[in-house]
Amino acid sequence: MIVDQLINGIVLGSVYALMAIGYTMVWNVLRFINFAHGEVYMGGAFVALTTMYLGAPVWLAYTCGMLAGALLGYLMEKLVYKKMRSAPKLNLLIAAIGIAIVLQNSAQLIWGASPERLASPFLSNNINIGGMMVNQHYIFIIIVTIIVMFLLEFFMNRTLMGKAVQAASQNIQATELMGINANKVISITFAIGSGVGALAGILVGPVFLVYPTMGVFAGLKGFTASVMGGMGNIPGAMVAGLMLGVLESFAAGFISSGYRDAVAMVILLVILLARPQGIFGKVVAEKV
Amino acid sequence: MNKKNLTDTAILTVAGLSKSFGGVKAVNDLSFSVKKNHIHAIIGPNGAGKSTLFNLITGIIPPDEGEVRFFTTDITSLRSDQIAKHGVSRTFQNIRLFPDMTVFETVLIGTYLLTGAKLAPALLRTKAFRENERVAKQRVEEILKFVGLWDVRDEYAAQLSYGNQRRVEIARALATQPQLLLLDEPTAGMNPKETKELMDLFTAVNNEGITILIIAHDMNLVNTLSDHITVINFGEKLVEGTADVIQKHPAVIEAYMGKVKVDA
Repeated sequence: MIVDQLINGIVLGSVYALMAIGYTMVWNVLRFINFAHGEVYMGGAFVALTTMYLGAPVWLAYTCGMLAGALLGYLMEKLVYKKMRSAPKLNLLIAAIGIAIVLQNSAQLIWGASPERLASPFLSNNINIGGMMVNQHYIFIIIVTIIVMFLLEFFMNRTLMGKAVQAASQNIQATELMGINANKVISITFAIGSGVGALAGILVGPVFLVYPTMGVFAGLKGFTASVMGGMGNIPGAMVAGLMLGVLESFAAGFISSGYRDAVAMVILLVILLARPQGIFGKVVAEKV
Repeated sequence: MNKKNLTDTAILTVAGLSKSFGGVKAVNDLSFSVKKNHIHAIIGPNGAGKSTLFNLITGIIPPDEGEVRFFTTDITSLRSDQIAKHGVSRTFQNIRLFPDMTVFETVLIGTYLLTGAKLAPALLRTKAFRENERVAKQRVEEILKFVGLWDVRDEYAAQLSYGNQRRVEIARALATQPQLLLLDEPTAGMNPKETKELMDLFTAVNNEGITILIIAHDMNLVNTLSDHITVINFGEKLVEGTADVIQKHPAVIEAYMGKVKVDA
């Protein structure tokens, strides 16, 4: 039972971690929460679904969904947030919520409101781990998440472009004076964060189904994980996502499944009250 | 090191530059030119518009009127990163570092232009990419040794002494391979020893063939280093010339000391 819940928790946590990365990366360069990130998660899943209906093989459909998510994030920034660069952050937040509503309703208009299952070649198979049957798709989710995290870690810390993203998050003006086009860095950040978010939606599509409002709670959980990990801290977001998934899964398994979402919200409240810089964040002494 | 070779070629030309904030004319119809290989100082009382001038030259804020040319290229309406690509780099009056990066990483960011930093080659680790990376790291090593920061390369830039933080900023600026380096009050708040060491560094940088435009208040520094001085006040050019000319100029004395009233 414990192992069972632990695996469920890790699977759920992988998805939250992938979502949290998007929030945290955007926060890093623009210092605002992209509340339309959950809709990127939904959009990616729907595009993967449609591509599959058109007869594409699974891997191609998943890739298309991910690219569509990256494009959606890129366009969001280019068409809306970029025009509001000098506006107060509150305006950006409201715009993000507006985008979320428009995207949810557009999805409902295009694809309808009824949940649909995304195909997975692994879903119908179980794998025997130490006498326990685990769905192969769950293992697939975990493996893909690990690969993505390694790639992201490599990109951020081992490539100069990743360093440029980090530099832009620390001082955007000084970064520009290094000959780095800040707009390009911001676009890349949005595209990568959104692509990863869309991947999360695609990965859960075969399990939790695809529907227009699927991003609402997933977005909230991803946001919670990014706050837990310390806003702007990518490894923190990854670890916090996993922690949140496991905690939720234990709460659902050992208390009642009705408390699943409550756990995340209680954690969010406690973190914001007691440790707003996040579990892995550091206190930033602002110089005056 | 080459012996300094003063030329008459203008590396930077500012023509009729103006910028107002609200009703205040921070820079007003300002024109001057910086000759290649010179150390050119900008002096003037506080609030004279010196830092605004730097922000206008480096594209951080757009001018209301006027033109900035780098050699013969019009760079007035370019973005900061494009201006950096042309070979203009700067430091800030208030040091702006990347607090979560080590000294080495900070300076490595400056080599971004050198390597192109394309994503695909980086992920695939192509031969050309690895060669670029090697060249970039070698260049960072050379620069850090040149400015005297090699021993602290793995420390976080924000934890260094004030004098060394300034060096990091200069090293980062040098990593972009500038032809023109703008220094905004680089020795403000430094003790005499640090100031002296930085002055030696500026001379060394200049001897490498890099033209320097420097804002300073320290008249000893200005008189010792600069080949040419432009004095500005209320955003306008007051006078310009060599140190000898400037020191004796009545308008400069008036701007700094106040007008001596004789008709009281």
